[in-house]
Amino acid sequence: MGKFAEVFLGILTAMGGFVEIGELTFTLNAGRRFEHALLWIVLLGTVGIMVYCEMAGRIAAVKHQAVFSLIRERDGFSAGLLTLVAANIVNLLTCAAEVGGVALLWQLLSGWPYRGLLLAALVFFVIVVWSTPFKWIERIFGLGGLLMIVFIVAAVALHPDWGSVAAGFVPSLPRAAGGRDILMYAFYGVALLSSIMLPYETYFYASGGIEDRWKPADVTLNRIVVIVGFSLGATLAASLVVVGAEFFAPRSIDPALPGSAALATADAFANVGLYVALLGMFFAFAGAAIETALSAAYNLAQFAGWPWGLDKRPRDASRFALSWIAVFVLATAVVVTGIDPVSVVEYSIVFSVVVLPLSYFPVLAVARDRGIMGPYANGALANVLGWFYLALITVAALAAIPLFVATHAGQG
Amino acid sequence: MLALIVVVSAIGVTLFNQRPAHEDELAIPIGELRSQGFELRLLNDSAARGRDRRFVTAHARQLAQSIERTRDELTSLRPVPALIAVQGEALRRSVPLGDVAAQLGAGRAPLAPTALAEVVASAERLKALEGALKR
Repeated sequence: MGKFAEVFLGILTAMGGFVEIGELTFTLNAGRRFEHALLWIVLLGTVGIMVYCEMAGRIAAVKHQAVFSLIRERDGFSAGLLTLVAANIVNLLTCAAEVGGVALLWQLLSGWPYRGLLLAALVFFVIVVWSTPFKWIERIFGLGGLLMIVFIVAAVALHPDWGSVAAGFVPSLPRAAGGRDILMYAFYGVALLSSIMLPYETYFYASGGIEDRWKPADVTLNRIVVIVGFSLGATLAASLVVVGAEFFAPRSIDPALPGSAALATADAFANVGLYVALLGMFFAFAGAAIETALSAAYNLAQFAGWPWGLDKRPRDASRFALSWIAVFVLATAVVVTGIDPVSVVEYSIVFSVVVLPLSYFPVLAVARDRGIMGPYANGALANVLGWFYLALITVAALAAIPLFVATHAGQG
Repeated sequence: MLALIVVVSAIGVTLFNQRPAHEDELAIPIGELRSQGFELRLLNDSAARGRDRRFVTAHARQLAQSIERTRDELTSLRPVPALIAVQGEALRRSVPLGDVAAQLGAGRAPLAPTALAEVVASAERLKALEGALKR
């Protein structure tokens, strides 16, 4: 395949894989509660995920080392193990929410019982990951997720006040804010930041670079894919905030189910809008379920030094294969109990932010080290942004759990 | 040590759950019911405008389960004495939501105008109760 086609596909895949069930829920509700006032967090979080995915991808291309082998090397066994356990709990919870979201979507399309569909989803995911090459998994689910563009079109069709949308990209407090409103605003800010900077995206992105056999010559491709793909993904996230503000807020609806989100596109574009949104959400949630399950297995295998990779035959990387299958089974077990997948998302998003500094510090430490990276080490801009975001996510990590408790998980 | 942490945590959670609910805690399930009520109206409008029937019934069933879960959550709260009447009214007002969600889930869309009016009135009243609790 030509270089141009590879870059183009990489960009589309990055865009299509940008939104998952947690981000969908939090962006719509952020718009519903605070109109456009939290759009600046979408911008802030997107630059943050660009900075760290670019570094992790560059390390993967130059040193062929993924995030968790760096964590173990840099942090030592005990601190590394703590990060591994925390990161994989978050991966498991996120995977559970995505599997539950897929079953809810299938129920909307088929009318069949939810629990039966959860088991069908488990079988579907195991077969897909077992039988499909890594590149095709990325492309099928990333490109399918592009159907979510229907939310961008719906946002435009809702004729928002573009001045207010533009003002939302400037940090500000909500209008007529009292003490509780400020706490809620802070909670949504932290949750939105976390949902955009979910750590599994970096683990998966770097491991994917190694699966795709990136070389130092691919550093530019990595940079273009991250910057352009994630910018387009952020446009989708921002459009969800606009849909929350323009469609759900006037109707006093807090969208809490995937079907609620689809009502907005059905209102704008009738049944075509409905089906496109449901299909787009399916690819986005299913892609995220696969990415989180694989991320958990990558993390474990990289930390323990096991052979890993979807290009290896399962018998040659048996512990890796067993790990991702176990994550799918456990994730299904979590939601088959009847727990609401969207509630699981709330926990996974908040605990994700706690894991972020532990995951991202080793990436920054290696990416800026000229002794390791040589001419591919961070420049001044990457260093400044890296330290800025590390400080930001550390503050967010410290604030996340107190805000979660004080706002009753963002409910009031 | 681990056993001690588990025991202390269990006691903490039990005490936390037994303390009386105040305005902000009561407002959470009431706000969810308000949202579910208005969403039923939107879903009914979608059905009336010819949206996919299978989607409407399946989404109504998912909403019915959410309403049931939220009503259980509201019932399980033990509010301070001054708020017991609010809890009772919210539970009464939310009964039509469950009924209407069940009707839509059974494929009986669009709703009769009286049933729709009752849902909208309930949602508006729940919104007023929520607003008063948050003031």
